[in-house]
Amino acid sequence: MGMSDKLWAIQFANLIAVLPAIVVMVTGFIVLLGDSCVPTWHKNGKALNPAVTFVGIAVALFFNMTRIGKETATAFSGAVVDDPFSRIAILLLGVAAILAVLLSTTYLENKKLHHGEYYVLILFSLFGAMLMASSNELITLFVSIETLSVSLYVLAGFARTEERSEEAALKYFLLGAFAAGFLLYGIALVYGGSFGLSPTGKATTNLTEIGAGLASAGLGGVTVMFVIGVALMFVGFAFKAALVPFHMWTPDVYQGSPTSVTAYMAALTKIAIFTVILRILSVLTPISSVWLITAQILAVLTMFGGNILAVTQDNVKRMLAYSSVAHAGYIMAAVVAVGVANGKFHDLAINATMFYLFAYTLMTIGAFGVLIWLSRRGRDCQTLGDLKGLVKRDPVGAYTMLVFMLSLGGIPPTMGFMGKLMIFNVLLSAGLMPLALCLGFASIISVYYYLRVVWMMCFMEPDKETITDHAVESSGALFAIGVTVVLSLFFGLAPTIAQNLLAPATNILVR
Amino acid sequence: MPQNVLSILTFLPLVGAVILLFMKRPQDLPDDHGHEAHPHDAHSEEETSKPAKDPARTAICVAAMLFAVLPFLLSLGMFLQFDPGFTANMQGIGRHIQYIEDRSWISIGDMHIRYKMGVDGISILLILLTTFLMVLCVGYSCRTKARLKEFMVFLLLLEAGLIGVFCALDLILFYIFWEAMLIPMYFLIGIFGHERRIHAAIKFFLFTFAGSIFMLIAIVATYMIAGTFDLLALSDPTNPAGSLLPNHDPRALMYLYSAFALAFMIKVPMFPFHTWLPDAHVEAPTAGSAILAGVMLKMGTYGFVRFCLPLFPVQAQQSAGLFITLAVIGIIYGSIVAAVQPDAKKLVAYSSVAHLGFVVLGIFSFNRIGLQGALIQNINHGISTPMLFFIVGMLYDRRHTREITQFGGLKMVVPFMATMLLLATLSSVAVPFFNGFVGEFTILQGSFLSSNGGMVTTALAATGMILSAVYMLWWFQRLMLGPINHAVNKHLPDLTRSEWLVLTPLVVMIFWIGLGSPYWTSKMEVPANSLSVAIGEKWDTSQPQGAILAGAKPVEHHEESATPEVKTEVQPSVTEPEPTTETVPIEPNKIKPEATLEPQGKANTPEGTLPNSSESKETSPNVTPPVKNNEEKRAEPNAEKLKPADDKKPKEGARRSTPHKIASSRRTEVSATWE
Repeated sequence: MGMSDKLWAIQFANLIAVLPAIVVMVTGFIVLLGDSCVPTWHKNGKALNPAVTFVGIAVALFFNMTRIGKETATAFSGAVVDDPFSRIAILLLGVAAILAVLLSTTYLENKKLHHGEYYVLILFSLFGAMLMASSNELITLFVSIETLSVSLYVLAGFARTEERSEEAALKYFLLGAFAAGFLLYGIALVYGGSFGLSPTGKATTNLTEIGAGLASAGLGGVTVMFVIGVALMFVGFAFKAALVPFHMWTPDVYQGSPTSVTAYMAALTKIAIFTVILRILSVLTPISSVWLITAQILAVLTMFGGNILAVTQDNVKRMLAYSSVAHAGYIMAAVVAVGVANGKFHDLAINATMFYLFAYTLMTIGAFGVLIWLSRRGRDCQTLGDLKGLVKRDPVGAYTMLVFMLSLGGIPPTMGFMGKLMIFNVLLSAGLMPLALCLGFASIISVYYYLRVVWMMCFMEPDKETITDHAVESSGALFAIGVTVVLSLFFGLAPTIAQNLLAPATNILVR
Repeated sequence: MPQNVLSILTFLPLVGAVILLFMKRPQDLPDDHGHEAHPHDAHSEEETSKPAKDPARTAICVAAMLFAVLPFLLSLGMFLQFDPGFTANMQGIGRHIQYIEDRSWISIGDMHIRYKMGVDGISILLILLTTFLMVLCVGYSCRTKARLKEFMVFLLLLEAGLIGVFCALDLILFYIFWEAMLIPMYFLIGIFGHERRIHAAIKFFLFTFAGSIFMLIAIVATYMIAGTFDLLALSDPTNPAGSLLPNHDPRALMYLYSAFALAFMIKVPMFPFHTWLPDAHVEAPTAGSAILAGVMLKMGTYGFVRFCLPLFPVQAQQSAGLFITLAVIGIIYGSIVAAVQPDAKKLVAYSSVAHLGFVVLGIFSFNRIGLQGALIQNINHGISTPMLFFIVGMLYDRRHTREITQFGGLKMVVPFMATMLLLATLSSVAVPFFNGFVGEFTILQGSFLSSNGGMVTTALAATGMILSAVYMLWWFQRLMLGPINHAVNKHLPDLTRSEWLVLTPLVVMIFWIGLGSPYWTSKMEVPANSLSVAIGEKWDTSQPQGAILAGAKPVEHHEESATPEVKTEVQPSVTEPEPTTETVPIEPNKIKPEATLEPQGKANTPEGTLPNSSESKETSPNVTPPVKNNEEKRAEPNAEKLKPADDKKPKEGARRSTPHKIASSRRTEVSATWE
């Protein structure tokens, strides 16, 4: 075998490791070029763009699924890892993206926003998110986060004629850039602080090497610079995950963005960033005493902050934004448990996090999906007033929304309840009783505003404000909502299936 | 009976609800009064000319009735086939549970949740009550004008949830039913309620949810300790799981117990947590109030009996003082507040607070008399209060007001309704011959004999009976007696045929329980007695009190059992003077089993006379004589041998001191079942 053959083999193995992401990226380029350069494509763009996007993501998921039980591999000199954990994360990301694409088509037509770039940006952001899930190196991680973020900045402002959308994009971009600065500075400090940690003795941004160094050096071998670097990195992550007090952008961006983008963003960023947080905290388990308390405080602040702020919202999108903040708090609570007792509850924590992320994806996309479904030409369904007395006008829509509200509130027999049960399980296993109690209190607050939507829909009489008819029946949206509502109930009664599907995620490359 | 009869019973109403969903939606009838908040929509003006008969309406009513009657017949069949003395070859209170269904269901995280259902005498009575009331509620609710189909769907969903709660033997399964049942009730109040329905609905939901979320945490924590959600295993001291739990850190157990108890206290509702109840009762539609009072409140007391007491007997003992105090406060406070209500429905609602206070008092007496009284009072309240709500609902339908001052002198106009109301009132007041008497008297007796209760407590609680006579009779007087002050009242129609059909079964039940209570108590006597022994009732070791229950028959049924040395050690304890209950100086020879009902009834009338020793005989008709299945119990010879060890440990303090001792003493007491 010649030298070039060997190089080829290595390159090939590298590419296989990130194959799903590559498929998504290539699909993005195909849509971009096809829509702008091929006139017949452009003419049929309304159907062709989403169709190609759908197929691209489906193919990526197919490649991903064929490898789901395979062994862990690293690629690109350890910068990217292809472990079952990242594959499960990619699966969730792909599902979120497919659902979002299904929801987008008719909605964009109604808003006259049906441009090919939309799908290109969806694909590029998905590419970034998938790469985030497989990053095993801080610079790769930064680049992939930025790929995701920049695409989302544009998507947030996609409704070019609407002021709120523009405001959302600008706000998201400015604050996001600020957070990226923190993240990058943190990475630099971690790089400096890792000097002497890694087995080779050199400074490194490779997570595997940092993990190995931490495991051997322990708390004593960690410099202040390293800790500050980690803290600054987490400021960046907390911004992306919308943890209180870094959540300020969330309500405005969620409200201003086109609803299909909101649905996509809400699910996608949460999955991507929590896989990253989970991976990095797993690496940082040997020094968990440094971050455990802070992370817990962050989780508690987030669940209470999100829930309390959501109570007073009259705009459902804004309410769901704060609710997504609260859910980030719940997930954070589960994530924290990876650091307890030297990673003893690692598997439980990952199980619970992945399950909850899946549940969150279904119910959030479903809830936004109902809003999308109810929107009609020239009028977005956003406020509680729009939903007033909905059950009289559209009983199916109202009762579908009910299922999502119950699931978000964690009331059986829905998947949200099972997710919460798993979080309670991991928190109590890990002895984090105060966190579990906080989650309990926060849930009580949350039930109020979820039920508020229900009472608006079901107990009030419809009036002039109420959404009456939708201009275009959207089969895609209908399908997406149907899938999410059925799965939310089905996995509420048979969560074992979802759990078994996600179980490989516990196999994560730590050190 | 098929193997999975409980699943069929639980999900039959659910199937009915789904079928109803696909039926044609009947047109709303016009609202014939100016009641603006009622859920009629803007089209009602056009519909006024609509003919009264709508085939879709009839179809919905018939289908809903079918799916209410089928579970009722099924549960009735179960009830008749049910073996009240059934005892499985295991320990713990779960050994009386029958019709068990058990399959593995969910495993997530490291948790394994089973689909486990089963009933014993305690729960089957409540299930029967549920299905029975549901038939009446569906029958009554066919008059619902607006959104009839949804109403029936929610009623049937509610029924499924309620039956599930009473069947579930897995803690998570129980929790799922417990929570899921909130949703249909939320809708029943929110859609079909009166003016402040949204406020009442959200308050109801939040209160219950606030209690139960911590119960969920406690359930998971219990799993952390014992490794199972299976109630039967947890309450069985010979089971590894059941022995792990009581041996855990007592402080942690106290927290767990508190979390469970909080959920049940809110549901009952006990004194400081009762504020949701008047709102929900008043705002709910009539059938909703009837189910809420009749069955849903019983979920709280059932929770205490089924979960709190068997799982945390020591903690329950330690907290008994608090619970009894709250129960007595609830009785007196509920009664006084009820007396001053201007709203007829609110008065009944507050009377529920008082009545449920009695039930809790009975439970926390921790003896078989109190417990059996509480359980039968559960059923009694589930019959008399729905009847009161139905009649208030009928008055409301006629006059569209619930204000007591709007009525008066109705006796002349609606004599039959007045008679029915009088019967329900007397049942609620607990007059002898009526069912309420059986329950409340037994509870007071239990509390009097209990070391937790005692004379003062019982005296205070007994004032509740006087107060109930005050507010209920005064209420009746203001509604039905005196002159007719309002001209509109002169032409009210009397009971219609459907109203007769709703009320008559309730009247039958009032007298059946009032006069033939042994038939009903015998069904739950065995599990209630086992439970009272399991939570540390002392008196099976001493003759006098045992004699009260068994009709002056001492503990001799042990005689043919086991080995001679057991007998010799049992004997001395029998002759020992009463060791624990300091307030009860009863002498065995004073007790004569041939006492009749009447004199005690008088003794219990409003002077607040305390039950004395002669009254103690009272319960003998309530409690059937010795159970037949002695052989089964004797099939546990080693358990019998353990009994002497228990007798040597008479002081309560010693029992509480260490968890290990508690576990062992529990085991012996459980095995030495009252026979």
